Amino acid sequence: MGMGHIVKSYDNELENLKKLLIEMMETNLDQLNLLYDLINYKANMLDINSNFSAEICNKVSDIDVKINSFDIKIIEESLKIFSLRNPVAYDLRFVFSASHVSSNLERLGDNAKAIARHMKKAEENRGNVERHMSKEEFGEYLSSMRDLHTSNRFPRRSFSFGRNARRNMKNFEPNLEENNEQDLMQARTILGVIINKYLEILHILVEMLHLTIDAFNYMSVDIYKKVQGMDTKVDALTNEVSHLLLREIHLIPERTADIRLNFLVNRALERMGDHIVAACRYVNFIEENTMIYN
Amino acid sequence: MYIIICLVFLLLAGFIYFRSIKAIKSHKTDKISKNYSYFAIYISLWALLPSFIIFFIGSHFSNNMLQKALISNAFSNQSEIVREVATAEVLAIANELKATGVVNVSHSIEGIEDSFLIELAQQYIHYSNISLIAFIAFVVILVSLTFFFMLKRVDLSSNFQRKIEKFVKNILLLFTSIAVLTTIGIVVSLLFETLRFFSDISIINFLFGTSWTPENADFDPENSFGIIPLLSGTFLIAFISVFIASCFGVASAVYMSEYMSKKMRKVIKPLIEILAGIPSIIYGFFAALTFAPFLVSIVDSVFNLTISSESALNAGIVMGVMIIPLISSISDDIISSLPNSMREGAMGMGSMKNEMIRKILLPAAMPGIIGSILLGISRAVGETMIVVMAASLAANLTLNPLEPVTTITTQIVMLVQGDQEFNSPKTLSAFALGFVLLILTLLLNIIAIQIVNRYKRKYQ
Amino acid sequence: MSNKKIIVENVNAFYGAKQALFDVNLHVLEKEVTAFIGPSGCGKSTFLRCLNRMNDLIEIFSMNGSITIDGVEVNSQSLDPVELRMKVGMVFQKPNPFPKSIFENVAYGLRIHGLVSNKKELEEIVKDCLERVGLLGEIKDRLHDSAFGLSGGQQQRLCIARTIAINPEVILMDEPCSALDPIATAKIENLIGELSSKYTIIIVTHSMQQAARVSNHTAFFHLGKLVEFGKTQDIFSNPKDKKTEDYITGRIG
Repeated sequence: MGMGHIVKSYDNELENLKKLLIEMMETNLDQLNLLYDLINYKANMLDINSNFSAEICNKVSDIDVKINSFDIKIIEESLKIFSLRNPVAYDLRFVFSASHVSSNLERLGDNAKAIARHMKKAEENRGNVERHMSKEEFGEYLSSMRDLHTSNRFPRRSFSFGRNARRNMKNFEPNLEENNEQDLMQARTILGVIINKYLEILHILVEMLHLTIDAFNYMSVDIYKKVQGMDTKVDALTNEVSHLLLREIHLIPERTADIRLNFLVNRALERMGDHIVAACRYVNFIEENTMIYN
Repeated sequence: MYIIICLVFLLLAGFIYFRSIKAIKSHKTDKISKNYSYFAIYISLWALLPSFIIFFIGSHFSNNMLQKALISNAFSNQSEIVREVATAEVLAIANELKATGVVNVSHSIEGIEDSFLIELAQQYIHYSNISLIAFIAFVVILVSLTFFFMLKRVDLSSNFQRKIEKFVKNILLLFTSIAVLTTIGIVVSLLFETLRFFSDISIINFLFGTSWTPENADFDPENSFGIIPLLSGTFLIAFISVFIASCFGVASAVYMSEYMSKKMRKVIKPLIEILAGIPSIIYGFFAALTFAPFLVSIVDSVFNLTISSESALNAGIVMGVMIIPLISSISDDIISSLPNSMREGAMGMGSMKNEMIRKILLPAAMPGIIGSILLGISRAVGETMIVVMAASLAANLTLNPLEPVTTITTQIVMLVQGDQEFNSPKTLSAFALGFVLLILTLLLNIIAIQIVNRYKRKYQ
Repeated sequence: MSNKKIIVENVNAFYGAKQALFDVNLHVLEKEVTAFIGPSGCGKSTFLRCLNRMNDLIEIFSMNGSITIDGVEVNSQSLDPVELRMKVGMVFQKPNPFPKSIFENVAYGLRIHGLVSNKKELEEIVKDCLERVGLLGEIKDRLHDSAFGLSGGQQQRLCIARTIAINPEVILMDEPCSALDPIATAKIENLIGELSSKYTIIIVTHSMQQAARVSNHTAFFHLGKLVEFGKTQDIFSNPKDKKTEDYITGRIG
């Protein structure tokens, strides 16, 4: 908005509110980055004895406390401006949106916390299962996973790999005696399909949050369309993941508990995308008094 | 001579002022107010004023003493009257000598030689000059002493502004008291003479007697000073004049404040106020010479009534014209000062302009207008010149405006112009009449001011 | 759907050589509250006073253009201003009761226009008007005391009572609450709400919040021009003109 208000303190209060929103989004970004680190770590190491997820989970929880206090602060500030300044038109839409956006961001934080928690639990579970696996059992496990990801059967989609990669994988024979680097990588690839998908989704989410921060900083209405498109991608990816998980349940019934947690993580990721889009939507509302839903 | 005195004092004052500023500047205390001039004024006042007063009183008394010692004693063997006359002569000669340096020897007294007088006069001048110079010197020394004494003794850190403030306040109080006391003095002196009158004539006969015949005072003093016919005459004329003045005055006030355009008002209002400045004697002679015959002829021919040429109607009408500007001016101010919101409120309701004036403005302005009418009455009661010239001298007790009547003021003029002895009842009766007039007008003014004030309080 | 009570076309107004209103066009709907807002000196009071020809009282005023109320041209020579003012009443900024009793204040209009034939009817109408403005309960026993004994808010309500006594169709209010405390203001805003079902009300106000609370339509004036006119909720949530937005959000004076 071009000119500032005649009463400078009013300008300052609105600036302050905006700063709080941006700060809150950046805090959310911290959470997402932590999650990314966690998943990245998990994708690259199959070491099941680390404390990393516990650490990350704690950090994410702590940040979530901060996010909640931001939410409270933003609500307080909005109410204050409503009661004392009687905003109208643009200012009214801005202050009104602030509390809605902060509520969306708060849920974003809760989802991140839930993901971290579920991952930690899943790891503990797997740890329990896989620790008790013998080498042979592990080898069988790998083979069945390989078959899972390379089969053309139900569901009839092979998302993870291209035709060549699939062919390579088909020929993969887990040989656990030698610590062959290539074999290890293949094993990792097979076991880490879903984790890698998570990585991809999280990468997009981080990008979406960055764009939203930009949108709010510059009050730019063009960014929303992009973010909306990215959320469509996120939805598609989580859809894929849910199909993959279904396949795993179907084929490897022992892993049900672990897969349940994965479903929860998947759902949380999808919701995070929706929350970010919902937050970004308000920029259009503030600037142009319209809510665009698709 | 006097120029020299003035110069001396001015120099003294200047010297003191600047010297005290220098003194205070050189004295460095941190509590001192920065305003040196207050300090200087304070010191100057204290140093100069008492000395000036001493100078004037002293030189006056010294002149008196000189006169007595030098001149009167020279004629101590003469009678009192001769002494007085001779003293006056000598002083006159002295004045002439001082002024022109030449003596007009036409002053002469039986039994005393001119040259003796001139010699005395010259001696007088000589000694009075010496005494003057001595006085000046004395005062200069006194002032300087006082000044240095004060510089040493005064507390330089005290607040001079406040002291000067007190001084100014006291001076203003002094002047106010002089004004008030003068008024009281007039009333008191009137009162004394009035009481003297009432020691001769009983007050009851004065206030309730119905015949005013001062020419019979020698024969029948008790019954010649009845004031009732004068009162009736005064009030008859006053009421006629106020009636005329209020009709025309209020009407023109309403027109001027409500209907007249601003441009016209700028011209007409000052014109009416100029009318108020016409001297009453001109009205008087207009009444006596021009209006009276006209009135007589109209009443005679149109109404077929007999009217005296000195009738109350004659004086009343002309006095009314004189009072019109008074009533019209005050009423116009009152109506103009009514808040515009009142007019807008009435017009907004759909009133016509005359409805608004009649129903809203005039009732609101009425107390003030009545106040102005009372002021008009008091003016009419005290008016002298018109009635002296247009009304009669015969004290007639009547309410018929066509008959001649006389007023209190006319009678006072007649009595004072006479050449009676000062203490005779006839002359003293003037004081009594004056006192009655004073009380009357005082009462009327008090009532008028109360009413006007109460009105003002309502709208301020 | 209310019809148009007052139609204003191409009105220009001048105080001597100085132009106060520039080509104003708007319409006021019947039995609704319309507010005029704008900074000081923007011509809203001048425009209000044109509607009942109060500007006739000012020597140097002149205007051109057409103002019609119910199809009748306000400025036509054949229309008596007295009749116009019976139909279009006015309440002023500073309460200005007449220096008479409360009863006489309300009875004034009825008396001068000869609207009542006997004393009983007069008394009934006066009491009814005082009841409608909420004053009767407060001053029942003081009906014949001076109107100046009332508080500011009561005096203003008295002025409204005397205006409605002559049963106008339009009531003009020039900043009626600016001299009153918040509670008196609220009572008058409440009264405006109640009166709007019977009369067309136009209120000029300095307070945007008051315009927002009280009116159905709002007109924004700036420097003698009508900048925007529309439904109040539209003007305050999404104004079309940038100048309007700047004014209501407090960005220009």
